[in-house]
Amino acid sequence: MRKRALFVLFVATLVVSIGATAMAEGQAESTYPEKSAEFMIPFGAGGSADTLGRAIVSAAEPFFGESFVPVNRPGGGGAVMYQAMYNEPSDGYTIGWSSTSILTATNIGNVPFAYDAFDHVARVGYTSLPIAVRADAPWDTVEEFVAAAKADPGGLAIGNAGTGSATHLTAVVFATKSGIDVIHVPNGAERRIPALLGGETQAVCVPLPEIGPFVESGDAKILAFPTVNREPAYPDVPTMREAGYDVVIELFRSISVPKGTDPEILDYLEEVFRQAVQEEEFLDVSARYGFVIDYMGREDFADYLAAQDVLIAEAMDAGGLR
Amino acid sequence: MIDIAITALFDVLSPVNLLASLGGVLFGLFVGATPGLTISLGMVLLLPVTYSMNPVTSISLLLGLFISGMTGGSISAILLNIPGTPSASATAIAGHQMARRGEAESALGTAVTSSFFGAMVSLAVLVLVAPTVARAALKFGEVELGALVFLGLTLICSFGQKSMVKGLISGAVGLMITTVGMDPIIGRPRYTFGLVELMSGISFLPVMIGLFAIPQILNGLVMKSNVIPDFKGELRGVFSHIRGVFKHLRYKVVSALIGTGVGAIPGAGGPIAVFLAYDVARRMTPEEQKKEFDAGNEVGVAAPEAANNGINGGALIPMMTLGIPGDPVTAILLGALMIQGLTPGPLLFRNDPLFVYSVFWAFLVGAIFVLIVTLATMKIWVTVLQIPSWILLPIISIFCVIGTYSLRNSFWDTGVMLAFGLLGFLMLRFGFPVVPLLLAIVLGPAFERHIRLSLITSKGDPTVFLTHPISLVFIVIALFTFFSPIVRSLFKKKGGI
Repeated sequence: MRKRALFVLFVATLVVSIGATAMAEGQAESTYPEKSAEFMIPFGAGGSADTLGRAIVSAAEPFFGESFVPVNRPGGGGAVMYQAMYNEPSDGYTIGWSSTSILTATNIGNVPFAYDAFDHVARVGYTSLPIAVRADAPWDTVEEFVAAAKADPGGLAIGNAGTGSATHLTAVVFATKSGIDVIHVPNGAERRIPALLGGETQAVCVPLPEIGPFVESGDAKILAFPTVNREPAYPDVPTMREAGYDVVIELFRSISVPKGTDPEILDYLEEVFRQAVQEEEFLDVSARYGFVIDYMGREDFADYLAAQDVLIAEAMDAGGLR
Repeated sequence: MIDIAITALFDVLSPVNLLASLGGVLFGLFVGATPGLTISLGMVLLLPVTYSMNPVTSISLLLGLFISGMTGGSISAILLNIPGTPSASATAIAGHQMARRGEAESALGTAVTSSFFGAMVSLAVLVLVAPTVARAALKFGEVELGALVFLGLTLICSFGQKSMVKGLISGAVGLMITTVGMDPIIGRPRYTFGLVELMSGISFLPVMIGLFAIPQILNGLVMKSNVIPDFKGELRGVFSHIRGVFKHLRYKVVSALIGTGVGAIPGAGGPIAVFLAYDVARRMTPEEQKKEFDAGNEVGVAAPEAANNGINGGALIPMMTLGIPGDPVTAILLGALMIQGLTPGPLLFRNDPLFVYSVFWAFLVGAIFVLIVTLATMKIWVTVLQIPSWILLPIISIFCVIGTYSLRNSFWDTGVMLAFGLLGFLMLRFGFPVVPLLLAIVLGPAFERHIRLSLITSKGDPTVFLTHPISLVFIVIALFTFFSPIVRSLFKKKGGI
């Protein structure tokens, strides 16, 4: 008797959970949006991708008219989430919080498609990825660092978040364009600053908000920013281009949806997020995370993505990653 | 300084903040004690709630959850042999054996008071020497971490006591499993068979839930064996437990310091601390009491419990002084603080001393609440054992499914849990210990990563592990750990037969 009761309970649980998933699928609709949309975040809860993602959808909800349901799909440097989004219907109810990872995960070959397997709605902004050294390091400029690296080929180490990550590729492009031979150490996100401060690595490529407090406390200094414009908070630090090395890689964050989404829905979403980035609450969170809001609509973003894709592919070839 | 500390104290003691702390403690006990639900999950759930709170209320709530989750994890480990959190997995070893002998209350009481003791030691370290400890922890580079994890791996030998060979096989299988997923250094998939779900590897949590919970459920429901221990008799009362805070003092001090130290090293990982503490406690036990220890006694519970709450304060050290999370839970905590507009890191102590003191007080208040609440509700926990297993076990299985699903919002991890559950069931039947497998899965990825990174920075020179002094010490202890049981068993054979 008990066994049977248990079995019934088990089946009932299964039926309910499957039913719940099926209901979420929904049918064809006349007016968009008429129900909540899933917002997929390619990284874990609590990190900057997650916090910024949740902040932008909460700012966007009033303009969207329905709610967004943020869902974290971490793993594989974004690959898990992009694969999941790839399999979703293009009905406008699955929206992805894409980032530079959409170019790295596709180019390294961890997913069987390229970045253009999605429709891209808008770029929201970026975080810069400066090269920093310890404050007591003998180099004050990026030129001095390059000279030291040339004098000691393979002797200096630059830490990064992981092989194939944006920070790694930035360091690779920097090394290629400046003609230096350095060791790239994939310390990982939680070890890259301790490794620099502890003296295991001589430099690090790291998102600005992570290294900023250490610059302010006098533990580290920034040599250059691989961005188009100088960083507002560090007006005296040059960009890589100004220093003579053509390196522009930004950790951008953007909105993407499955391929083949109705152009009207794309227009609608573009407008929703264009308004959301101007919201006070989102501006606040962005400022705290050192996230520079630099909105690009569909067309500009398409050009930008194509150019960055070429750059990332070149960097991967240079780093022997493909 | 003193006036800031007092201002912070009154802030933390305001009714709203006390209520937040208590709420966090209750919720933490629930997620900690429920197999399948974890502290990280609890934090993620509470995170949106904290957005609208002020920083002190928010940290009171989250710290309460963090501390009580660690303690709560031991409750299910002791009563059901299912650790509620990864850091409670060592507690299950001695704790559940005690419960089976009808000593559930002593085991729980020891766990709770040791947890409190561990939390207090780590708080003292945090308050008195956090910046120094943080700087010292920076001395732990890849080489030192590699050697520490190597030492952790040799503990497999200690947990394969009954059959060394079976223990080693179990550990080796665990290590092989950790090679699945993204290569940690070159970032390419290994043994994933093109499955994107396997790319981030086989995560530890569904494995742990599977290995511990599923065999219990199968044994209880299918094999009809009595998996839930009995508890009869009168409860001893809160005060008799509180007097036990200082029992087994030397074991607790050592374990709490191990927990704090390992917690303070970014990237070392919590579960290593509890197994290390358990092993050290076993070594500290006088030869004539070893039998009692192996059969499961209070020391075997006190050591890992003092260590896992030591992690609480320890993990806060790099988070607050360097802005670097020591484990996944503090990573979420860090996110919560940043949302509040605070920047944990080298400037926090200088720019925001008031908040730093609030964290210290909130930690203290949280730990006291955990102590009082768990002891006062002892009756409820012991009553869990009176629930018929055909009701209790299905409830646990539901939570296991929910918990594993919630890890990545996919049923993949639920499948992983079931597969490892079956494996655990078979291992149990054929006398293979599951702890070595679990240890290997926790430590394997860290081992590979730190060793390979060391070799990258040393340009392929393996002697760095011997030329770095801290690393050398770990390697020597590790070799001693590895060879001593073998040598001992050789002697025994010669003398015995």
